[in-house]
Amino acid sequence: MELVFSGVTKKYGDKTVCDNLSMKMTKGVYGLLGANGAGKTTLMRMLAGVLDTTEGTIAYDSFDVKSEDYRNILGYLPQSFGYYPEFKARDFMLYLAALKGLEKKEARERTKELLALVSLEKEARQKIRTFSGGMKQRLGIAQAMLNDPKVLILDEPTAGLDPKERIRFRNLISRLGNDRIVLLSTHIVSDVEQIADTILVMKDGRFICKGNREELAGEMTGKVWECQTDETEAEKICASHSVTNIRKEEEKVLLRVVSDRKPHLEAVCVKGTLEDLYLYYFSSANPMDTDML
Amino acid sequence: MKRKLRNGIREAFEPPKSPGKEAFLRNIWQPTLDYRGFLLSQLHYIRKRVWILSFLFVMYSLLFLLKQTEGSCSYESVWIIGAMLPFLALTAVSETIKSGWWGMQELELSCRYSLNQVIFARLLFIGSGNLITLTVILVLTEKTLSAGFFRTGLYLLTPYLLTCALCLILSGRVRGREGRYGYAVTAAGVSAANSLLRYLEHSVYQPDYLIFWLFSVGISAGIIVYRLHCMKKEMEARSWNLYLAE
Repeated sequence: MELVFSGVTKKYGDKTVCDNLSMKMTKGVYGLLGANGAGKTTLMRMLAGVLDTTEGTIAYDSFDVKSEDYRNILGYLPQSFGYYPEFKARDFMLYLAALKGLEKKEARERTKELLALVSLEKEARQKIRTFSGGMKQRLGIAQAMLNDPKVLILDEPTAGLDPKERIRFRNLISRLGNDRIVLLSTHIVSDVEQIADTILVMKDGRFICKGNREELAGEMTGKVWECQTDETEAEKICASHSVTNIRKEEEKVLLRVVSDRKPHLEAVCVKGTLEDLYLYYFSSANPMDTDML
Repeated sequence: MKRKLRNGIREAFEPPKSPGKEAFLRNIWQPTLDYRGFLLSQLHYIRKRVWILSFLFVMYSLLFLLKQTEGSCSYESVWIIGAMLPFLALTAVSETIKSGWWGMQELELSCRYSLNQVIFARLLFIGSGNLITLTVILVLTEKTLSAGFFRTGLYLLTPYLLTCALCLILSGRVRGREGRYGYAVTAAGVSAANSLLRYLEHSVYQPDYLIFWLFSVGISAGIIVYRLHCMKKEMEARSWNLYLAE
């Protein structure tokens, strides 16, 4: 079971959205992390076979991703998806089950099972247009699993889910990753940190780092600092460095800073996390990214 | 030329056997629904309004025919019924290409029976339904005229095909749900234009103008074929969902 992509490039005119990406994926959960516009969705679409590459090849066990055989083993949740206005949750599932080639009886059974799995069994006969964002997202996750896929591609699956639903979703994905390839993209660091076996960080259409949580956190050795200062000094540090956390403690302010150099005389070097790494790569390029941590 | 080249290459070289294809297929889930089953399943997902509208048009034509007294024969039936047909075309086109309107195309593209097969299924059922409807209307309308099947057929097909053609042109330019308004305006415009023909009844429906009707039907049919071909190509190139926000 291998999903291999090699030299994958996508260009829209002069703009290169994905630039010469290569990787071999085997069983497990892969987390694709990056800011908006990093090229995550484009890569996901190409891996799902719904968008052509400009250059490069993508194959699952040497079968092209555009083949019917590949679509048989694919589960895909796009970043945003719609539904026909008259559809109830059950209709939506049965419709996609037919498109995935499930016979009626099997489709009904899978639909019931999956709607229960995402806690939508009571809403099965409710119109989708009455659903909240989180409910729609859970329905999207359920449809992706209709054909028990070997390759599960989930683009921003946790968007709109509340904390309880996110925890349930993470547990579900961890289980699913045991016997299939799961690729999920997000800009929420904690989602991938806890479930992904391999984390891919994407920026400007390229992978800027790959590895497991420990390996990536290790890259931050000597770059994460904590210091306690007064408010005036803290403001100065905030203005000149990337600060991942600020906590007020009585008279003092405790700062966690990501920087190549020591930000303050009394700063102490501490162990880095994935959040620190994210901020290290993305904060200077786009300050908005820190809002998503 | 491309096809000739492809066929030539296929004949000249034997394609290499796929390594491990059988082992791969053994290990993966296989669909339990065959193509015929899939096609039939799609009939259920065509909205009832499409069939209801067809039924209403047939009923209206029948009532109109019954109301006609012998000798009152005029081209009134042609322009009145002809003015209704753009709305039949409107429901047909909008139902066929509804995936784009409702943001379902990306999901449908990723399935075993992909978007082009879904559209083919819709075209097959809606097209057959409309063909039956048009045939019944033609038979009924022809009874009030002395123009014969061929000419009556041209008079009725023109507004229908013209609406289909214009809506399909529009579908290539306006993506998403905004297209709905454009389609509705197009259908209303063709219908209004057809209604205006009542004032030209004594000239435009005469055999001298047959070439005009033939030309209109031919051009419209040509555009429809061309646009369907373009849509198929776009789906094969998997590039038509690019308007979705990155």
